[in-house]
Amino acid sequence: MNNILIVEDEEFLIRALEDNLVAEGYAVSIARDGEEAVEKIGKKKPDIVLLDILMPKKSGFYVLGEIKKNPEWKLIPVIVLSNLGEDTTIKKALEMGADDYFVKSQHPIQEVIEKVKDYLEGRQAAKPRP
Amino acid sequence: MTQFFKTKPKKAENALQESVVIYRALIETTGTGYVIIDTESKVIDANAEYVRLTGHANLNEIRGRSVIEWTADYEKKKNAEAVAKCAKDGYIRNLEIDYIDKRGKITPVEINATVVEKSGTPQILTLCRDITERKNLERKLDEYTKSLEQKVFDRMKDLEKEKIAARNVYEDLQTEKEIIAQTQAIDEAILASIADGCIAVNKNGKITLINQMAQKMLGFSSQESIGREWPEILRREDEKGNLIAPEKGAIHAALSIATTTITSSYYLRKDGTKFPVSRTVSPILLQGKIIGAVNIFRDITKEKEIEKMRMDFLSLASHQLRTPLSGTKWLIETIQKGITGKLNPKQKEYLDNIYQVNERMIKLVSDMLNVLMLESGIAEIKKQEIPISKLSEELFLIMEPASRNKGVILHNALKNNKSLFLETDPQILRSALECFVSNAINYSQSGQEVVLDAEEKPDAIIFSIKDSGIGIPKGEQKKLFERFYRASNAKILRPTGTGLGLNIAKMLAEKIGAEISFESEENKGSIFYLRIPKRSSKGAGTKSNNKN
Repeated sequence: MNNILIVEDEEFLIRALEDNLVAEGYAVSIARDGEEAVEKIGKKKPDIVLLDILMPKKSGFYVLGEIKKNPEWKLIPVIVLSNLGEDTTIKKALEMGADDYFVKSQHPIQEVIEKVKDYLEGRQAAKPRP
Repeated sequence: MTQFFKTKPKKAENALQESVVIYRALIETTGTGYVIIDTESKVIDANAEYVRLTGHANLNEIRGRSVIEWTADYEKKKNAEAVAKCAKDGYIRNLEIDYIDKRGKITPVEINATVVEKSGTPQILTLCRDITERKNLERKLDEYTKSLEQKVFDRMKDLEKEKIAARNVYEDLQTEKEIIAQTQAIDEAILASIADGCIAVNKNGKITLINQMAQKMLGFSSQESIGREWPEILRREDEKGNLIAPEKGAIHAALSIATTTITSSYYLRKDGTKFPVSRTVSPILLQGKIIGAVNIFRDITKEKEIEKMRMDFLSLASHQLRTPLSGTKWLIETIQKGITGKLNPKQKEYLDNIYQVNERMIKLVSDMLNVLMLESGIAEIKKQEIPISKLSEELFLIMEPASRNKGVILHNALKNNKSLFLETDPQILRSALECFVSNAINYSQSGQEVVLDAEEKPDAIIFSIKDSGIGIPKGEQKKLFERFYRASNAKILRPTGTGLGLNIAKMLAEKIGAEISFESEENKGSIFYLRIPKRSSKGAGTKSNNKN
């Protein structure tokens, strides 16, 4: 069973994502801040990470950096789910190695679920990193 | 005059006679008039010259008559007084009198007279000299003198005039000099007191002027700067810290093609640290020739900080507003999917309503943030040359789902137009066009068409977005671009609109220097035009990009 790590501090967004992903038959683990996320990845490498940016303690950028600089983690697909919608933020995340970026309020949850399925069912792979 | 000498003794008489004859001959031949009068002015005797002077033919005509008779009227009194005076004093000298003859001819004479006794009777022996010539000469001399005096006077007047003129010129020059000095002083004071840096270069790119503020900002003194090539003093970096070549600079452009440039950039101080500036660089033109360039720049560190704070605030505000809305959205979607159990029809309907309200809020937040972003000037303009066909295809890719949902037919008349290019910020232009196309779709009915087209004019490219939708009532057209304004028929057809779409479109258009206009008729449809000026190819054009 594929394991999905949801990194998100908003409880109702966690619930919505968790319910939908579980309904699709995925195993879900949750981290509520950046530090916890890196810790959880260290304990059990997920198949995909859904990553918020603005969070307590450490931000999503920190987590993204940690994933992409670790040779063992760098091929984990990372989908950023954030309500930061500025071009500069999106560009920064993509340059740091995020595979996709969704401004949450602009997309139905089903689009996110479909994207997750694309990665996990092999239709899409994480971007290669040097 | 014969009887005058007749009573002398014989011998002596002869000698005397001889002498008398000689005198007589002398007197008769002399050019001087000679007359003897009594104290009553009456002629007793006279020589021929005197007779001539009086204008008579012979002595008999005048003997016994008063000399006053042939004295000119205006001299009669003077002459009579002179005779009386002579009789009293015994002589008169150099008396000038005008005689007048019967024909009115005036003869000026000079009279010297002496009283002699003749048998106890005083007689006045008078010498009269014709002084016509002398008078003429005197008159001529007088006239000459007068004319000379006039000439001198005239010349003096001319000289005076010239002097005045010269003084005026001098005064004008002085005034001009003072004005120039004043202007210069004012200019210097302005340059010294303005908070902007100001640097002027000559046509060879050498610095000719640097004001105090520029010296302070750059760390170079006037002595270090004047006469040096501008790239030595105005060193420029891009955001990433790479030095920018002078040839890419605005001063270079101003000096070579007379372009005026308004941009922001980073300057390096003498010590190598950098600071952000907003600059205007203009050519200095004298009778159409480039003689130099002026660079006015302002340290915008504070503005940048404020801009960043505002940007951070807007970013955070948008995040905070979107987060609960996105949570609501996703939770409703999760319920709608049935993951949490089946809903009855009423619950489903209400939930759909809540979802729509939430979507409306999401759109409103998004639009308002766009407005705030545009108003704050945070959005930067990044110009590039793009083919219009590509722009329209990208636009249609974005708009396709909305038109499909609504059943509106999108027609891209620019799809195959490969020749039309445009230099603008494609992102902003696309966003503006998106607003118009989205509006056209929203206010059209299923089956109606929305057409995107463009026309090239010599100075501009005009986009048009045509629909056959509900149109805008005549009386409401003026308010169309006002924030939150919605036309009455639009509110009925689509109650969920935010009233910000066209306002945003207008702001976006203004950002890239485009003009908006439209034609519309209620129930027939609307055409919106977006006119984008082409960049002036002439030197004096103004452009706004990232050149130095």
